[in-house]
Amino acid sequence: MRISYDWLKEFINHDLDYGELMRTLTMIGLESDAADKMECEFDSVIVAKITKIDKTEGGNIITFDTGQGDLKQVFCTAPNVEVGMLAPYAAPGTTIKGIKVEQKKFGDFVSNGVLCSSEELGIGRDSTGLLPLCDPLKVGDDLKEYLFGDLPIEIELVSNRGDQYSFLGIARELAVHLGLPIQEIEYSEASETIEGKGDSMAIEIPALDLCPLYTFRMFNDAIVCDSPPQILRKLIALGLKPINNIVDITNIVLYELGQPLHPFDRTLLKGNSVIVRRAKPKEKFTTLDDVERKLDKNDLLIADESGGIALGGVMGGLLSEINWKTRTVLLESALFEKVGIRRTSRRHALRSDASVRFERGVDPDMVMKASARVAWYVEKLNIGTPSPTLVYTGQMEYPKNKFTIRVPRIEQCLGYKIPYDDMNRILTGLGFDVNEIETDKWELTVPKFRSDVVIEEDVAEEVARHHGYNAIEGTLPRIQMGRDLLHEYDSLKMSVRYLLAGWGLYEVISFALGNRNELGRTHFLRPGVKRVDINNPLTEEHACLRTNIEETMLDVLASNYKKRTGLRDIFEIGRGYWRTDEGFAEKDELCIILSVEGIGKSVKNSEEDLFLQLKGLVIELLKHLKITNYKLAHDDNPGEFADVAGDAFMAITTDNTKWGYVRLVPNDELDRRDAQLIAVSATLDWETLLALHQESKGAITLDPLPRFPASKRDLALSVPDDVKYEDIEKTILESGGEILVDLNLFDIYRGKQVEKGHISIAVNLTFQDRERTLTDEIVDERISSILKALEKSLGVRLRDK
Amino acid sequence: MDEILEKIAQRLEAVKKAPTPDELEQLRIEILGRKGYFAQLGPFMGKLSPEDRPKYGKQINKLKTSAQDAFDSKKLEFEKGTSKTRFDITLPGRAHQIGKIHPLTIVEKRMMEIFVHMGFEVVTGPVLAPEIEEDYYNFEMLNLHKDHPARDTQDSFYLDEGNHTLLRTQTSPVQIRYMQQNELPVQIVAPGRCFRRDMVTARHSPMFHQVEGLLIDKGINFTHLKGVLEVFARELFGQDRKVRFRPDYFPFTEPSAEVAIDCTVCGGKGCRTCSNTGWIEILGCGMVHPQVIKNGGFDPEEVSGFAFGIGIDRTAMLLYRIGDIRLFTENDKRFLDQF
Repeated sequence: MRISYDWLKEFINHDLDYGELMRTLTMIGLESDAADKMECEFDSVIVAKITKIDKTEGGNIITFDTGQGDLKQVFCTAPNVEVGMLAPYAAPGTTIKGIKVEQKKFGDFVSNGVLCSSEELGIGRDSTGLLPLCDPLKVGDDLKEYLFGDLPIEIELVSNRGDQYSFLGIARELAVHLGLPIQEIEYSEASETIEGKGDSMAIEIPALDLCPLYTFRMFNDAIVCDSPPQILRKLIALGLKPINNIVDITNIVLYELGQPLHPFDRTLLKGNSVIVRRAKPKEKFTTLDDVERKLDKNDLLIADESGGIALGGVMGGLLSEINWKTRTVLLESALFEKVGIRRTSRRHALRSDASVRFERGVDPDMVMKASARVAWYVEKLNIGTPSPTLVYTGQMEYPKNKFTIRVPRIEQCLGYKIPYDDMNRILTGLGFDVNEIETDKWELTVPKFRSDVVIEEDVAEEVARHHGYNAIEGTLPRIQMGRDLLHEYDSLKMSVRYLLAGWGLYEVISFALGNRNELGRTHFLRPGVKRVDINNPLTEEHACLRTNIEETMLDVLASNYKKRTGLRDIFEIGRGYWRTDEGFAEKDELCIILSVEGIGKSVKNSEEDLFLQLKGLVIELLKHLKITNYKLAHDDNPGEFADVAGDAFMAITTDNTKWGYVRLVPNDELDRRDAQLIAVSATLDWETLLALHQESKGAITLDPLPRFPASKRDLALSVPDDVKYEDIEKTILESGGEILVDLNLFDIYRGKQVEKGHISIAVNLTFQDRERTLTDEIVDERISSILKALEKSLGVRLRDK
Repeated sequence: MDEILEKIAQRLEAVKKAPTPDELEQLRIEILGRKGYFAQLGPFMGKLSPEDRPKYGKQINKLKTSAQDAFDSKKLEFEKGTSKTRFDITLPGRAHQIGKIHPLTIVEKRMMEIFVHMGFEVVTGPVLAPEIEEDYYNFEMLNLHKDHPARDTQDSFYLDEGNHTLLRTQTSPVQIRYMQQNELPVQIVAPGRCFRRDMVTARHSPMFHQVEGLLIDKGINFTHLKGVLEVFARELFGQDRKVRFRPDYFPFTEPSAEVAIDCTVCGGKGCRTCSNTGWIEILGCGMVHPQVIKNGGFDPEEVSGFAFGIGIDRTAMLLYRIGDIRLFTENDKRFLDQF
C-alpha cells in the first residue's frame, strides 16, 4: 500500500517530518519505507495564463503571461483555449518525453515553444486540448515541482489488516499513537435509499453468497475530462497514471477510504438492470487490461442484459468504461465476499487495487460512505449532478462482533502491566467500544473494519503495539535442565564434517531440486524407488528432487571444473527423496567424492589410486567411529543396477543389508556434465551409520597393553596376476594362527625383475604373544606354514632374491 | 674383528668433536678411507662361518651408514659456519591442506550452540522434521487456511494432484509435530531446508534454510520471548548491538513481532544495506496462537509459549556481507575458501 506525506495530512494534522513519520508507522506495525517517485517525463514546464487569442490560418496565435514580466506567443490549434485560462507552457529548450522543444516558424510567425495537453506531458490521456490548470497553481509556477512534489511512502501491510489499505485506516493508527484527532471527512450522502430499483435501473443478485450487497448511484450531466491539478498530484504521488476525472476520483476515494468502486458509462449498458451472478461455464469476458478471460461458475460477473460488464470486485470491463463522451455515470459500490475474490484473482493471476482489498475484507459501512464521497468530489469539482437516490440490493446492516476479555489475561500474555486507563484509551481510539462489566472483565464491541480481532491475544497485541513493544523489558524464562538437548543424529554430523574437512575435503551444500532430464538416477541403496517430481514446477531447472545427493554433488564438481577453481574432493551430509507405492520418503546420507583431472595415459593408475584412497578413507572413518560390524566387498548382487553401477563397485553391508557403497563414477556421468575428471564416490546412509556407531561405541573395554615385545617380519611375494589380494590376506591370516596380530601391505611392484605373469607384493607381519617373548623359532615356523599355505592354495611364492 | 669395530665406535665419538674441517677430513680417511677401518674388516669377513656372515654383514652395514651420517652432519655444521640459522625459515611451510566447512553449516552450528546453551533441544531428521510435508502441517494447523492471503508469500511446490503433499515452505510444521508427540516443557530449535516456488534471484532462492524455535510451558509470556531473542541476537551479532522489536503479523502467533538489530554496516546511521532505516531485520516471532497450542495437543488456558523463525542463509549473508544467495549452492571453491 502506498500513501503520501502531504495527502496523509488531510486526514491527521501531525507535525512529524518524512523520516519520523516512517519510523513511527513502522513501530506501530506499519512497516514503512521511502518509495520512488513516479518518473516525470518533462523538465521545466511552467504555468502560463492566456491573455489574448488571435485567429490565424489553421489555428490561433496565443499570447500569454508566464509570470516573468514579458508576454510570450505560440501558435496553437487546441480548441479549448480561452482568455484567462491557465495552461502548461514549455519554453524552447525544455525536454518532454526525451524530445527537445524548439522554436518553430509558421510563415512569418515564430512560435516560442508549446502549450501542452495532459497526454503530451504523460500525465493524462486527453490529447485534444490543453490541460486546464487551476488553483492552487498560479502563473509562473513550476508544474513538476507541484505535481510531483508529494513524498510517497510504501507500507508493507500485513495480510490480515484490510482496514489499513486506506489513508483513513493508517491515519486512525497514527491518531491513537500520537493522541491526535482524525480530520473530518466530507460526504455528499444521497437523500434517499431505495431497495431493488431506482433511477430506471434495477439490481438483481442471484449470487448473494458472493456479493451480499450491491449499490449504485447515478451521476447525470457528467463532464469527463482531465482531472484538476490537486487530483493529479495525489495520483502521481501514489504512482497511478491519471485516466480521466471520473475514474481518477474513484481511485482517490478507494485510497482514502479503502472501498473499491467502479464507474460505468450508463448509456453503454444494455437494458435496465445490473445482474450480479456467477459466470456461466466457459463464458468469456474482456477486462479493462484488454485480456479476454475464460470464466467458470466460481467467478462472479457483474452483467447487463447482454453479458458481463465487470469481473466483480476484481476488474471492470473494456466495453462499458468511462470515456470522454460519457454523460451518465453509474457508480458501483458493493461488498464482495473475500474468498470468492481471492480465488478469482488467483485463478486469473489478476491482482488489482480492488481485489487486494476485498480479499482482506472491507468495512461494510464504507460501501455507502465511499459512494457519498465520490458525490462530494463531483459536486465540488462541478463535473456532474449526483442523483439524490442510492439504489441497493442485499444486506445493508451488519452487526458488530462483541466479546468479553479477562483483562488480567492481557497482562499474563505480555508479562507486563499496561495501566487499564491506557488500554482503554488505545482500544477506544482504535474504534472499539469498551464496556467495563467488572474491573477485570471488559466487553468489547469490535468495529466492523477490525474483523481480525477475535480473541484476548489479539487485544494483547493491539495494546502492546500502541504502548510500544520496546517499552516491555525482556526477561529469561526458567529452564528445565537435564534433558538431552543435542542428539547424536546432529552432533555426529558436526564431528564427521570437521573430521572430513581436516582430511582436506570441502563441505558443499548442493541444490536439492533439479532438472528432470538430469536428475533421478535411482538410488543404489534403495532398489525400486522412484523419483519425486514437482507437480507445479515454476521452471524446468527445478522440476524434481534428487534421489541421492551424489548426483547434485557431481553437478557442483562439474561447475567448479568449468570455472577451473580446482575443487576436487568434496563431501555433503544431505537429504535424498524418493517415492514408493506406499508414498513419499526421505533420508539423510553422507556422500564423499574424490576426483582428479582425467587426461593422459595415467588414467588407469589414477582410477585405481583414487578408488583405493576413498576405500581407505571410508574404512578409516568407520574405524574412527568404532564401527566394525560391516563388510566392504565387491557387490556381487547389483540387481537392477548391474548396468549403471560400474565394475569398480563395492557395497557396505551389515547383516545382509546394504547401507553404503563405494564406486568409480562411470565416465558417461562425468562426460554428460562436461567434466574431464576421474571421480570416485562413497555414499553412506546416515541413520544406519549412526545406529552402528551407537551400538559399538559403548562397548569399548580397554585391552591391556602387551608386556612382551612383538616380532615383525617382511615377506616379498611373487603373485600370479589373477590372484586377488583379499585371498592372499585371508590365507595369511588363517595360516598365521593366533599370534599373527597384524598384516599390512607395504609395496606392490610390477616390472622386469618379477617373474613373467606375476607381480611382487610385499607385506609386513606382526607376531605377538601375550604370555611370553616370541622366539625366532616359533615365528619362523609360522612363516613357513604361511608360505606353504600360500603356495598350495594360490601359487604364491616367496620372491627370489 | 671385534677390536676394529670397537675402534670405529671410539673414533666416531671423535668425529662429533672434530674442531676443524681438516681434522674431520683426517678422521674420514682414517675410518672410511681406502685403507681405513672398514676396509680392514674385509679380510675378516671371508673367514667367518656361513651362519655368522649375514649377522656381521648387517651390523657392519649399519655402522657404516651411521658413520657416513656423522661425517655428513659434521661437514654441514662446518659449512654453515657461524650463521645462527641453519636453514631458510622463510620458505613456505609444508602441510597437508585442511578442507572447508560450508558457511551455512558454520552459522547453523553457531546458532545451535547459542540455543543449546539456553536449554533448547535441537530437533531434526525425517521423522519430526520432514521436508516432504503435508499441507495440513505446513499450513492448516498453523492457521493458514486454504484461502488465507498470507499464503501468497509462501507459494509452494506441490507433489501430488490433490495438493496435499508439498515441500515445506517453512520449518514451522515442526512445531505441531513435536508438540503432538511430547510433554511439557517444549523447548526446541529445528534447523532445516525449506522450499518456496520462487524464481532464483540474488535475494531469493527456491531452496533456503531456516531455524524454527518453540518454547511452550506454564507461564511463558512476551517478556520471555524478548529476553531469549535479545540474548540470541547479541550472542550472534555482538554484545553491543541494539535490538528492536516491532509489531508484525503471522497467522500462527499473536501478538507477533519482527526483530531487528541496528545495522551492522553503518551502525544505524542509514546505508544501502539497511535501506536507510538504520535497522536490519533478522527474524520473525510471536506468542504462539492459542489455536496452534490446541492443535499441538495442549490447553491454551493452561500453557503458553513463543515461537520464532530465523533465516540461516539471510543471517549468513548479513554476517559475512554476502550479496547473492546463489553463492551458497554454487559451492565455488573460491567462495568456500573464504570461510
